[in-house]
Amino acid sequence: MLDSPTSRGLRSQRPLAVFCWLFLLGGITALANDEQPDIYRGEIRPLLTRHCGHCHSGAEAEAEVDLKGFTDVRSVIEDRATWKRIRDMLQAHAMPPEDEPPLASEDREKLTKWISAMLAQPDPSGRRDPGKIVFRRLNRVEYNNTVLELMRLPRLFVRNYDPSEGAPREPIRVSRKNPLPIYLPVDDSDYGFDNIGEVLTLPPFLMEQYLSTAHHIVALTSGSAPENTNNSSRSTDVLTRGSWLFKPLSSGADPYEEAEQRLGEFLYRAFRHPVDAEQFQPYLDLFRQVYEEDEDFVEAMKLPVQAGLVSPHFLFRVEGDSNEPPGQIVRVPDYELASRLSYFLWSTMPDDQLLRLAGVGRLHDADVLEEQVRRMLKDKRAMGLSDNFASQWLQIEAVSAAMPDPEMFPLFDEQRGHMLLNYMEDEARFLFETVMFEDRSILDFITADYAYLNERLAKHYGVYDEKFHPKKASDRHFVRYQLDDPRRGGVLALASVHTVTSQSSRTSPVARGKWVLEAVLGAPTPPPPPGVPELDEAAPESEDLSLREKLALHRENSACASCHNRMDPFGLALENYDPIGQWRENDGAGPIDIATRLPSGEELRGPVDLKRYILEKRKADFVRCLTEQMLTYALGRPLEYYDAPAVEHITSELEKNDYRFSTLVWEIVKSYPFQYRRTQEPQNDS
Amino acid sequence: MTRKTGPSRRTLLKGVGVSIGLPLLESMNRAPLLAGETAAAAPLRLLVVYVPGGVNKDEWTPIGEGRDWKPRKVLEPLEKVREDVLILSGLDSRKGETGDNGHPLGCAPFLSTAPINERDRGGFCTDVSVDQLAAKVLGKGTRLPSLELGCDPDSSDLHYSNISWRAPGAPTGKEYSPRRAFARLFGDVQGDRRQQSVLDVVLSEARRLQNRVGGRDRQKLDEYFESVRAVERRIQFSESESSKHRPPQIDLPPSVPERYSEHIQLLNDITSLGFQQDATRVCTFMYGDEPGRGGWESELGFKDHHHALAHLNPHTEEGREKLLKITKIDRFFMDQFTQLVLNLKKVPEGEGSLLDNCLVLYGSGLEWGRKHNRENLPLVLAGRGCGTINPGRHIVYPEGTPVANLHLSMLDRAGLHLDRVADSTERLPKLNAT
Repeated sequence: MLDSPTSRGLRSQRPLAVFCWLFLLGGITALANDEQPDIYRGEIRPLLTRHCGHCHSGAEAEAEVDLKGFTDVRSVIEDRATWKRIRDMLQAHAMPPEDEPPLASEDREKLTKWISAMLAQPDPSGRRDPGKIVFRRLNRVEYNNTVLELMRLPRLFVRNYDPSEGAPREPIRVSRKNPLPIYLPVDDSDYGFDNIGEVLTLPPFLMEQYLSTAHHIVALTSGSAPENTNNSSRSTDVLTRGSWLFKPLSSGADPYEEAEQRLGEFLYRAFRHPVDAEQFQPYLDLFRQVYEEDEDFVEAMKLPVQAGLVSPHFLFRVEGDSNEPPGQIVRVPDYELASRLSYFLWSTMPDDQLLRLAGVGRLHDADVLEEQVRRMLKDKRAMGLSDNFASQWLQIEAVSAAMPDPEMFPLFDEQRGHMLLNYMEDEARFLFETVMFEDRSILDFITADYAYLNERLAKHYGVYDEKFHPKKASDRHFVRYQLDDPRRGGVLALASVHTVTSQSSRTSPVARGKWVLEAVLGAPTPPPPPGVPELDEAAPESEDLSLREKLALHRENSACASCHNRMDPFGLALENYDPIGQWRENDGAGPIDIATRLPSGEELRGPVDLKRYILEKRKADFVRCLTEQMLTYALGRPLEYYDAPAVEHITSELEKNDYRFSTLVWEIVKSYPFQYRRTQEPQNDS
Repeated sequence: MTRKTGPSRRTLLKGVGVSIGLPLLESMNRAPLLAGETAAAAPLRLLVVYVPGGVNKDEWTPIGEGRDWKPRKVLEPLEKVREDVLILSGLDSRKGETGDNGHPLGCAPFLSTAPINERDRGGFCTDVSVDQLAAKVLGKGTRLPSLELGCDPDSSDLHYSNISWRAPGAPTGKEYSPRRAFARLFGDVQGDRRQQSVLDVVLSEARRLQNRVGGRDRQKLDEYFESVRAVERRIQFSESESSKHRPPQIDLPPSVPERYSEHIQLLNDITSLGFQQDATRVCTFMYGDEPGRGGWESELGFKDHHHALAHLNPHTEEGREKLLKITKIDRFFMDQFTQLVLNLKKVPEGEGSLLDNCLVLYGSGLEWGRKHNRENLPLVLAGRGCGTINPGRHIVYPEGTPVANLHLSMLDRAGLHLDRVADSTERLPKLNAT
């Protein structure tokens, strides 16, 4: 590869398998089933027989994939789980193996596209599968927020305004304090997000941290912090405010009754569902055990609270532990729905109102649910969606760790540069929140003519003028700025995006192109095939060539062309933004040639033209891309072929409702995979 | 008549910020002996030190082979311990990986034993790593089966920041805070008896839950169980040892040191202390995550980012300057490592030193940062592996020898005899040759 699209910690493996099926979805699903056999029998099947039949046919077929058995399209559709595996192996270039004749890249693409289209077909039996979400461990952001909510302590909001009070008063102060008072290690992430149940692990190392953290939280919130805490360098002030749980016993109160009452409430909220007597008793016993020793009420409350904080019911989002018949499809019960909602929109546990509605079994009523979603989207806690979802969707979490070359960008010689990176991230979150809190069109993400900027960013973009003074923008304070230059505005113009898709001293059109495909068009490319040389190595004589020329040379290699033809033009269209997102007409080697050509033959002339192209030609792709990303995040699992109808429905509702942000959220909440789930698999104790 | 019974009080921990009054004798602090282990046989300790981003190989590869090797710039510090190290040339990282980025491809599978073409969800060949396999044998009798350390906290990408894996795509996690690392090795598990009753409650809760769920949920609970049990084991150890053992007293700074070298040295010290006290026998230590870090002012007098430097064009003046800086970084890491080897060598154990009973692998998953290539990795093996290694040489293996052969030989020495790991073809010869 010419350079690594992961240059700045940009996640290397975006959800490559998941979203590909959408690439051709629109075109092929429209075809009637009876037109398909010809393609299958005429092209697909012979191709598979030729390249795969050697090992994958008959009773002895490798990996139990017997291609011979699939005689027609119907048989393919009836065993989509197998075909998904086939598609994934092909897409990852894991098959055919190296010692078999190679599969030409056009053929590979033809196969994967066809299979993807088959995967997206509705099930012939009419049955729908809502999927099953694997128990999700709380990630560290969720853990932090949940502890604060549970202890009824204030959550720290970095951007200091409250959307429930209407339009924010400018300037908006942005705090640099770490919003997470509890230190936990970074979580495993995959499919683009760090809240995927399948992926989040719980190694012994982490369990030890949960135990010592629980100890620590209890010590702090009960006002008996040890002298040397293992979190001493973190901002833990908020925890020292003390919790209702550890208020001293009022005189005359019965300690056991009081403990029962407090622990009952604590566990109900900590586990986000009612706790039966059998589950409750051991916690009371813990209280009793200590209380009988020295009759210290507060001391005796600590142990059961500590246990609650490491219980699997607290650490995991448990779904389906009641006595449901196995292997069925059920509507998600209200308590589970409350958690699905609150972790999706707020990154925290359900508040009292949600729990109360779940308790009386009304939360799933459409009107109640809609009212709740509306309320939640106006709540400050919805900033969790921009802090967590938006940053991961836009892949900008790594921006604060970016290392622009200080020789080229003297600002990065010192702290000021690092601060600028933080401001870039703030800007992106403000953009997301503006669309969310004002319920604007999600197309604003492409076309916004406004931005929240502080003084440093405004200077960075070269728009700092007299308009800023009366509004008192400083480095800590952001103001809303009306953009009159289409080169700015929207996610394609965010400096944070340009920075994470650059190397330290130059842009990376490959990484930027890959970013456009992943974050905007929802058509990620597979990783490069094995054995493809980096261009620098392959052709040392090319060192005098410009970046654009090197890329062109790279595309001449057919192994590279199929993907780079798709990636590079989008990256080249953004070449006017330098490695830290400033506008440039010249890249040091000479004036920037802004014209690039897409595989479709269409010409793009720079970023403004790219926005126009997306809006005119690829609007549906963008809407689908954002829908899929948000649905993945909301569900905490990768999307599967059976989710395609839900995605279709959400996007069509968006189209009917002016692409309102609230429509996107509401339709996700109403969607089949969010409202339903499979029950537990039958147990096998083999 | 005098008989040497243990370490002198101040042999260890000359590192920055650490002072220690050792009240301990090695013989007092040994873990219970395993079946078949005799009091005379010191246990093997396995340590792997990882450095990011490859090296300047021109200044790495020694001049000469066998016993007659002469170091170039990067390996110069090893002169101090030249009779205790093997320089290994010619070993290749696993074949058949696909992907565009040499950094995670070098780092994540560095110790992985995954068969070729078996990838985790992220597309990397990570499966249980050599250290974790060894820990299953060596770690049976110690307080911590294995210790994982690293200087970089909070990487956003696990394949850039882990060499130690429990299963495909499941890293062990690693500790960067010297305080917390020390607490893991020597600290009391908080609350002791009371803590155990907390664990009893949540374990019974998990058991109840487990009876109702299947499939992947059940696997998640199994993992929960396994992790809680690991903590229980530590509690039991600290109780069983508590009558005869008190943790070493060392002064640790309240926060992570600003200076990189201090940070590494503290963790170096904790590693050797852990080995000395037999609190663990297996450790991995990443001096840095891929693709390296910036901010070398206080150490080396320049600000450049390691990764940015590595992408150099050797045909230009600028490129040559960058290469000089890369050499300085390589040398910096080698200085830190040499200090660690010296630490281990200073601790007497049995007839010789702790180092004699160690197998310490040092290296990177890339050869050259510039090329992102993974052939002919830069590797050093220190220690005598309880008499199974004959150090003091530079061994050049035939081109294309898989590094997995070395892994197989390391596992042999840990007491785990496997037929093959990853793409190994045979056990690595010559390690114990004269």
